[in-house]
Amino acid sequence: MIETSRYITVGAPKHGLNVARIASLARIALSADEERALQSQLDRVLAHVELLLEADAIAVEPSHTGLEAAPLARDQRADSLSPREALAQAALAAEGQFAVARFVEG
Amino acid sequence: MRSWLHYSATEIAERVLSGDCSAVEVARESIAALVEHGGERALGAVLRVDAEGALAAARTLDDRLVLARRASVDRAELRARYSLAGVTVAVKDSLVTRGLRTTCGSKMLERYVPPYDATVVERLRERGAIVVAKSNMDEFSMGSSTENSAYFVARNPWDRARVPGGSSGGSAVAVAAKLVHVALGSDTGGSIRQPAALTGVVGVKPTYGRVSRYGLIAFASSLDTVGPLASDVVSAELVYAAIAGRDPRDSTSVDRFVDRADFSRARERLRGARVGVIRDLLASTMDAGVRASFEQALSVMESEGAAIVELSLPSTRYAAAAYYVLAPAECSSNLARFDGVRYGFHADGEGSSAEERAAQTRAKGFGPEVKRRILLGTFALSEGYHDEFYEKAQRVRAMIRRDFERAFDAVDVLATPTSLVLPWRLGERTSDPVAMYEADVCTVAPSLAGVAAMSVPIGQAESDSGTWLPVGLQLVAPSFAEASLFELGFAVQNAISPTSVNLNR
Repeated sequence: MIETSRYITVGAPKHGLNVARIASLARIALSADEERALQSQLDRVLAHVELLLEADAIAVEPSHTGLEAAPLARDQRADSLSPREALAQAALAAEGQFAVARFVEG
Repeated sequence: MRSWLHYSATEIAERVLSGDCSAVEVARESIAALVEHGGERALGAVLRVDAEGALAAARTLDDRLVLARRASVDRAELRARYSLAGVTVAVKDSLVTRGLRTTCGSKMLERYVPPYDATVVERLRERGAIVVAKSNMDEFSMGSSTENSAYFVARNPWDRARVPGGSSGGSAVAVAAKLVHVALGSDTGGSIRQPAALTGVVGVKPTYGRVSRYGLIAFASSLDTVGPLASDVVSAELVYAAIAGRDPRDSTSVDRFVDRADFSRARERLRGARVGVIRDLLASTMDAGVRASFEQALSVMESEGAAIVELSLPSTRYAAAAYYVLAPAECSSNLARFDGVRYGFHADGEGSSAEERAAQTRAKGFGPEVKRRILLGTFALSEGYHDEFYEKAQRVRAMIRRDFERAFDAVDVLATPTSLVLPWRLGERTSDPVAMYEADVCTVAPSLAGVAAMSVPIGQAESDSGTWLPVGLQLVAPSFAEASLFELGFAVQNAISPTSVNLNR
């Protein structure tokens, strides 16, 4: 067990978190140094959040929203940005649309 | 002469409406103070000052008020229409402002100029408030110290070697140092309340759904809220009343009457109040100065006639863990949009695939804390771990919410310290991202429950370096009970009346 601060103590996580794999899912390129640092940091965070596994919550329905009592309001038609305004910040725009390099290769 | 910045928002609005001073005069003072004390070389409170925009808005307001006075428009009518006349505002850089660069504290949005105003900004402008600056913050609102800003750190005006809290640290500093009258912040797990506590100002996290999130750059959509920071409860309520209420552009904003606080009955309300103290949190390790101030605040409330009731909210034990699964999970999804295509920073890369370019853009555009949270969230949502972490955290969130509902059957309001620790030294905790997570427990639990909460200053405690640092009391009320929350906060602030310190000049 490592004493990380006066407030919490964490050991090794029960789960394996593979930073390289997660980073590729999250589309973030990492240097080798970054990967090493993140691996040890995230292991410690994970060990900390594993406290959740102890909670007896089988009988409880998960809560997905910020406010249970108020259902989402029905969509209403409203004015929005013009195509010109929406495209003003694009890296590349053509023919009134966002332009990107080809996504599907080959 | 007393600076206009030393008046409360309520007083300034009254003076500007009556013509005692012009909005331009007030805005000029704020701009000068921000330039001198708010920038990178001083308190680091603001990322940019919009002198031109602020003066133009102030001039327009002054002109309108001259016309209104000439036409003998009824004062009550004017006061209702321009409830924030001439009140200077620092807007957290997580809220978009039309034509005014909005970076969310990130390199990713370094050059982003929004084509629209957030609803809350629009509503403040309609009421005569003058937006003078965009305030510093932790990148994408992720952090508790404002040290994660991609630009520069913000400093605590009580002790400049210490952090002001975060993520709305810049907003809190601008108010505490009297560079502006009020500020807007956003609060996902404590980002308004904790910096308010650490700098000695009032900060309010309204009920989820009470204030529109349209134009708030999303961090964790099921937890994000927008709220005011001010030096006193009455001014905070004034800003809250201007921004709250249904907005058709935010489908989670609730259509429900926004009732106003009645401060004349505040003392009466505290007299009969049942104030709940969460036993489970009291067992936490906290700084001695925080504990002493908190206990003193409780005894003041008791002497004002409130009944202090100890109760247990057992699920709050899991609050920080649930929060640090849910918030990163939602952030990993929300921040997927920053791929360099539609807006924001994009890494150049000849010949590489679109996917590689996105990965490079995100590698260079995001700072370390944002990367950590995106990775943690991606993990929690990934195949094989989704049920064990993400769904479990959602169940725990439901348990926490139920705990709060039960508590509010027994008490009117809950009281906790806002932060378990006093402001720490800059750099002291940056190397250990985990170290602060558990100290957020008092603020993340109400965020998960979705209820209304505020931090009010209750005095100062001496730090280990001999400086005096502010301590905040968090009051938590049931959903949509903001009016009584403000009344109780007002009564507490009056009963305790923390020493007013001139932090700046």
